[in-house]
Amino acid sequence: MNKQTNRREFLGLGIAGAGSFALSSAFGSRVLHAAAFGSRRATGDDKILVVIQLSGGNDGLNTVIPVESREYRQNRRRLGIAGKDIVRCKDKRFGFHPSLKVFAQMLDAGQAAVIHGVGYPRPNRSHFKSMDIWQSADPTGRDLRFGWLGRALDVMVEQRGSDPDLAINLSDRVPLAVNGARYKPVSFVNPSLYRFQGAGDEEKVFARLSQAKSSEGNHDNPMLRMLRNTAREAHESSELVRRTAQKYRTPVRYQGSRLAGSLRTVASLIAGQLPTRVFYTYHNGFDTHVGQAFRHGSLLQQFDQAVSMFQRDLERLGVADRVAIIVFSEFGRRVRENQSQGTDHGVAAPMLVIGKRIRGGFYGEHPSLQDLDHGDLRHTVDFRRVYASVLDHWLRVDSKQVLRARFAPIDGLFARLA
Amino acid sequence: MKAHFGIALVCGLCPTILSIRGAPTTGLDRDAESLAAIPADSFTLEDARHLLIRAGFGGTPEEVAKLHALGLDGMVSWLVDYEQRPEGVPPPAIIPTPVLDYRKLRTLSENERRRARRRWRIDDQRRFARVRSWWVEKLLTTRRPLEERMTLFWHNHFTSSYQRVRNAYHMLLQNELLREHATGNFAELLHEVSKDPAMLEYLDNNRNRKGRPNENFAREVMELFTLGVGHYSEKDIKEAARAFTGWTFNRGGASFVFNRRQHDFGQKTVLGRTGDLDGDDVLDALLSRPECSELIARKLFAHFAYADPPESIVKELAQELRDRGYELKPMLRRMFKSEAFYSPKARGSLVKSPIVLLVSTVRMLGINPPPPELIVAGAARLGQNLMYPPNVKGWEEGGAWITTATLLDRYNFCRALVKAGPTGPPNPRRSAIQRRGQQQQQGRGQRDARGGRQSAEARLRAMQMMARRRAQARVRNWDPGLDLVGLVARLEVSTADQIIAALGKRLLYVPLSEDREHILRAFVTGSDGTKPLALDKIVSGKLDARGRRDAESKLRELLHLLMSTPEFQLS
Repeated sequence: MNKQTNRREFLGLGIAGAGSFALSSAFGSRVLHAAAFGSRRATGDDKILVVIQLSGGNDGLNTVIPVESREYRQNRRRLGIAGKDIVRCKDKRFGFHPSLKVFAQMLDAGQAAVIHGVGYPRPNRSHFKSMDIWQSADPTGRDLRFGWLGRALDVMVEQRGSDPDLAINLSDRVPLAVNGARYKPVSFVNPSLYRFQGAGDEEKVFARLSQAKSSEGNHDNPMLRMLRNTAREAHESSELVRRTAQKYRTPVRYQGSRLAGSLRTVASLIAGQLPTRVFYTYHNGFDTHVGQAFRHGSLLQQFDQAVSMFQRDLERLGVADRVAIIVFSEFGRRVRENQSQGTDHGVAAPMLVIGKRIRGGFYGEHPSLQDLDHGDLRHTVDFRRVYASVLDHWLRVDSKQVLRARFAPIDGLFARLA
Repeated sequence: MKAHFGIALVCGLCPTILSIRGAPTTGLDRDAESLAAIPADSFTLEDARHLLIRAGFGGTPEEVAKLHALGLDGMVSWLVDYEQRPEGVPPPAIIPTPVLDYRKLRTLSENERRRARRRWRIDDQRRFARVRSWWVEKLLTTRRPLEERMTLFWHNHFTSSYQRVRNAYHMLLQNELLREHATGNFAELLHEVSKDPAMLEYLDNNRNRKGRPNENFAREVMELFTLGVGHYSEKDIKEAARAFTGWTFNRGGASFVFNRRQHDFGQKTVLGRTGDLDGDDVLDALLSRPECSELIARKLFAHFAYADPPESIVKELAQELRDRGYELKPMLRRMFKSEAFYSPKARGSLVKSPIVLLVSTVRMLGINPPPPELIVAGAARLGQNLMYPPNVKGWEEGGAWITTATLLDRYNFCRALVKAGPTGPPNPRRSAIQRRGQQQQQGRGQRDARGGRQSAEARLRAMQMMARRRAQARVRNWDPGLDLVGLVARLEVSTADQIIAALGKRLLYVPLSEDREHILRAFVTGSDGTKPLALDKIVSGKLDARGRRDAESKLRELLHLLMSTPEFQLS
């Protein structure tokens, strides 16, 4: 990457371009902030992680299909994907849902990976509990204060200093996953509405109110402390994020889903050289108890489209080398379909990884469809092994510090980094 | 329509309040872990204010003073025994029909069927908008604030979402059910809600049949409604699901139906009880567990007093619930009189939910209630889309409401509340023009709606559009009736500090930090380079029309800035 702009220069241009006092004060605070904590610019070796959370429990068996399995046919009499519709890839043992055409191509091109049978011991079938477990990386579900990425961000802050925009969450609720003890992510849905509205004077005074140190009193009110920090960060990051996203122009037409919109925002912020290392996005609606075929098909279609547009855009920006996407869901579905043409909460499911610099292909062992645990697949890969790979080999944060134990990374997933 | 004690901003604040900066100064010795009642004579005005924002939606200083005059027992009884007062806004007349006639649908072609479904959907969305507006209007104007607070609480406990239920009438029925039992008996409420059409639909129990059980309801009723994770086994869920088979509802009449043919009469074992159990037996088994009363007690205390209550308090309140056969009122009264409830640990410790934030802002300022559509949309933007909870667990409360984006949006929505309406004497010419424009727009809508040869669907869409335009016009033309210049004049305050103190006293439950207060003081006096407030002229009544407009805008900016603080988010 040679188009690197120093973060301070970028901010400086913002002042020159805008001229208004309100803007310069907000930007000014950013510059001062950057100066105080040392220069942090988005550098070429800072890898970026994009998480796509498939909420509701994605049916892994109809996403990555074990084409040769007789049991698949027996258990999925109505919902099973017909052989002729399965999207094939180089590995003849597995195929993909008909909606995942681009993903299959990326896999064959070595830029997408499937990790089979990811799960954790003593699986929990509650959406919330299992989501909490995935997000906290604690399979006992006991310590739910912080998320695995939140702890990773804490480590980054410790090592490299703080920045409000280190992680950006594209929803109006902060998920446990990116919630750290020290670091709290910036959150918004629509970047153009991410701002304080007020007349000229008000904006000026508001900037002062937000920057007020308020160190005195109320130490015993944790909510107030949290609110004061958030208020400061909201003020600092909103101006920058909004202007960056607003001025973004791309020939790639992101459309068709909220996920596509989120990924467009992610692309704009990467293009705008924000120091963000983790983006957290959502694709919701996978709880397909009833009438699964149509719903699941269109969800995967939206996913496939959004990701392919995003990858194309990253290529165009020349930053595809720096970005990896990981895709997970709180659990898969039962092996046997239910009586309402749907599937109920299950256990292990594949995780997907996408990126130009990963080593594509299939990892791990597909769970047996013969040796089931009360009608459920047995997981073959502990989810923390995938996290360990992402932490150690992509984000370069010591996974042991984050996961509190050493987990064997997935061999070779991020091999091209070496 | 004004909030119930009327007058509101017009009357003055009692001058003695002005000296306090908004924080409770008494009661510092109250034990946060004790449920003993506070002595009646230690019940201060500030305590009454705290009680009214927690058990209700706050109020103007005049309202607080009136309630405080009732004494601790009197005020708690005013809140809890609300049945003596009339209810207020009657429910919208939504006819349970038309429902989709499935038998007739079958005779139609694929295309006609799709069209019929779509027509019904559009029509139902209109009905749904009316249901939500009605509820919000109730929240804004009710004289039984605890009834609505508890209805909101149960809405976030026995969640159902229109997204899944897709029937406005069913959502209305559920809402009325929750209100009917709001402070009644939890056991009854649990039994009733388990037979409620919206719930049966939301958690798929209408698809739970003999031989092919659907476990969704059985799981959530244990995990979220009664026991909590870890107090039942996967086998309990499987067996309980069988007990609930055949529990469904009749679409036309929207009432519970027990379908014997789909019910599994076989033997089941749930939580150690064995026999031919049906759904009611399972619910009774759940209610008999101490964990159930503890879950409800914990959730209620955390919602009304402070987060993460100590186990000793939970156990004591749970015991109270069990001793009284799950009657809620004794437990609520006990909580609302307890030391713990009024202790410093509870004070200003809770983040206002979006609905509480918006509704209480209106009620504390005593302004004319805004069109409910504005509050529905605002709360949705802030993360609480009424009747659309994110999932069956409901909205997570407390710090989870706050992100960098929702915090800015909170500030922005409060601006919409205080910046609407004229800032000076009304301009008759401008209003006339506005009225004409509005009539023209409505005329257009009506023509669209009547349009002769249009398809039924187009007509529905036109009606929907018209309803939306009317709502937009209502929001545009809404005048909060805010008169800050008048307020300041009546209060006879003479310094910037006093104005800030008076507003803080009315709006904050946590004192403003000193540096923020300093910044606002500079804004009033103009020492920060902004145009100063003509305070002396306000007090002496020497403002001309233009000066009055300027002063009113300045004061509204001050009000908005005061609300654009971390402190304002807490109650």
